[in-house]
Amino acid sequence: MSNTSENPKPSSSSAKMTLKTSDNELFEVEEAVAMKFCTVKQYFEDEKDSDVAARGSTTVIPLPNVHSAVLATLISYGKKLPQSNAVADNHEEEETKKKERKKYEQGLLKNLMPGELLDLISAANYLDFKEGLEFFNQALADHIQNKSVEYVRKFFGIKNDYEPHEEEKYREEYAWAFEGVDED
Amino acid sequence: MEPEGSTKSKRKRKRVELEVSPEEHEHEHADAAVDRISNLPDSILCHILSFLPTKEAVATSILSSSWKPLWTLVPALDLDTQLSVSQSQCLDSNNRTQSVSFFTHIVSRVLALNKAPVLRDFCLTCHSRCDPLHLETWILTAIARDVQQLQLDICLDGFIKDEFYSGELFVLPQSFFSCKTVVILELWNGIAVDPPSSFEFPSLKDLRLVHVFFRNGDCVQRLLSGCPVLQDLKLCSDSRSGLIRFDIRVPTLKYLCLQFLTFEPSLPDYKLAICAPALECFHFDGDLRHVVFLEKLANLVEAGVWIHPFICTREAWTKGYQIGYGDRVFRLLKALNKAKSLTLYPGKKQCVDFGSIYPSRFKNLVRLNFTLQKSNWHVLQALLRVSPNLEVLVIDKLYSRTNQLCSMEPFDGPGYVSSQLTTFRFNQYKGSKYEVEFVKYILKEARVLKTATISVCDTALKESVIEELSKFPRSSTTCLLTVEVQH
Repeated sequence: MSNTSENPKPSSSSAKMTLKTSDNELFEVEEAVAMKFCTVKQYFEDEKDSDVAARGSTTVIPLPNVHSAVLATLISYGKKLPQSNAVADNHEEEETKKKERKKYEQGLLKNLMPGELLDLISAANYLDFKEGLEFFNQALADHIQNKSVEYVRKFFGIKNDYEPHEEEKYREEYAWAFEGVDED
Repeated sequence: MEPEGSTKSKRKRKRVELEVSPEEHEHEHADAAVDRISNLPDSILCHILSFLPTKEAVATSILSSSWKPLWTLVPALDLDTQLSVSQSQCLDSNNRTQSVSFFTHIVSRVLALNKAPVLRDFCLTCHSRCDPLHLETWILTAIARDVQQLQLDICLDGFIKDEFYSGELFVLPQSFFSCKTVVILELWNGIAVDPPSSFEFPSLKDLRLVHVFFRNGDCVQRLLSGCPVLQDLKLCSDSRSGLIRFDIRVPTLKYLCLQFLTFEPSLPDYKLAICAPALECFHFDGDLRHVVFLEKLANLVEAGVWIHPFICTREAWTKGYQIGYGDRVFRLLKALNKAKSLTLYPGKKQCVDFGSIYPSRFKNLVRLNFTLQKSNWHVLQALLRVSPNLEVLVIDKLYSRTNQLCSMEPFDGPGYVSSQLTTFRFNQYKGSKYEVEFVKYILKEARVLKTATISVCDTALKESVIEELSKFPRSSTTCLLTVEVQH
């Protein structure tokens, strides 16, 4: 993906950054994609202020809260998003990219375990990756939509710590909210 | 999406991380037995809940005690009179009154309990008789809580699917028009829009008016004049909306989508004047009457026009309607001549007394997606002749048996297709006389053609089509001709 940067400062056409995960794996990522992780962006900008020479691949940004498998998925999702500084595509290319992204998104969600989805959400939150959060949070919401309370508890391993009479009272009070869901 | 507080705390956390050795992170693909979702920050859980209808968000409060207050912090409310399934199934009037007062009770309660600092999204669907005073109160409460995205769908006399609403209207209170925070506003169905003569929606960027009612055409322009930063406008109207002569004058507008459904022949034509010089994308769908652009669309990038003229069996009305039909189609097209991409279905009515595309040129047109009928070949031809820089041409077919072939100029000599054409696709190809001639012409004249894809519906046809088309001379040496089957 071309990275004709609109940044006033001079930069190489495809500047890369290195991210280091909790299990000590290094990921070389294009700047445009890495900048979608606002935490990374902030770190990079803080570093830049202190040392102008340390730019691009010489900077290794540590991400001690993110495992490599999770980061790999987030990076590949970030790559599929429209790049803010890319050369404007014509209509045809845009349509193709949109279709590709949809297909990729469907494939991604198909075999995702609840634990993996939560990993992705946690990591996206830590990285302040807004588009990722929007996508994965929506995916989670889609999954629990129309499902019974029992199903959601089982699926996520949520322990019901209500007293039976408490729960009964609550169910009565908000009876309208519990009607019409799938009994799973 | 993240509130200010959590961004600050993340930064603090990061600094600590650099000094202290990283904690052991549980990265094994955890089985569901360990509850990790409840440990996510509240802001994330609220974000997730904001994608659900309020009814379901409320239900999550029973998952466990830590979930109890979460739904009240969600800055979004999505309420529908269908809230109570068993209640709405009651048909007799006594029970219906009960169910309505129940809905009123639910909405009032939910609104009162919601403690989110700002109510960002408020979506209310009311398809049953509800005291307008309650509706007004709820809407004004949302406005008082700085709502940014507001969607209202109100049919006081109930809503019947696939039919236009014709019952009592809900009139938006005048204080509705003093909302300073709304960015996206959607109004549907039985709502009467009558704005005061001077008001402002200073933040409104996206406005959708779907089958709502206006007292007269002036109401539209009064509404639009109060939107100084409007960028997106979608207007779906039918013949009962009260719009006969009206204007759309919005200097900031970038995206305009119009849908006009006429179904009663006794109503007069509509006359619409559009002044939107900043427009980048224009879509029209429906019955085309008098549409005039007061200023050139110099910034137009994309246009989509899909015309369904009203079919009437009454002879006299049909004739009167048809006069000038073709002229109207070409007039609209000419106004869109700066577009880079155009999707067009000029309708299946024969263009009797049709106008002409000249002297307009479509110099910027790179992509054309044309839906073909027997009666509109000449529109395709006219467009192709005036688009010298066309690169992509896609043809779809929408034939009907009653359609008659219009007059079509024979393809001879160059000039009927751009010399820049690289991609050609013809869907639902049947191999009729004109189709064959057309494809033959394209293959012959398009000197830089890279791919030509012919799509047939019938597997049996594929072989004969390949055989026939491969015989035709191609002026482009790199052209790849493919015949595929698509049902």
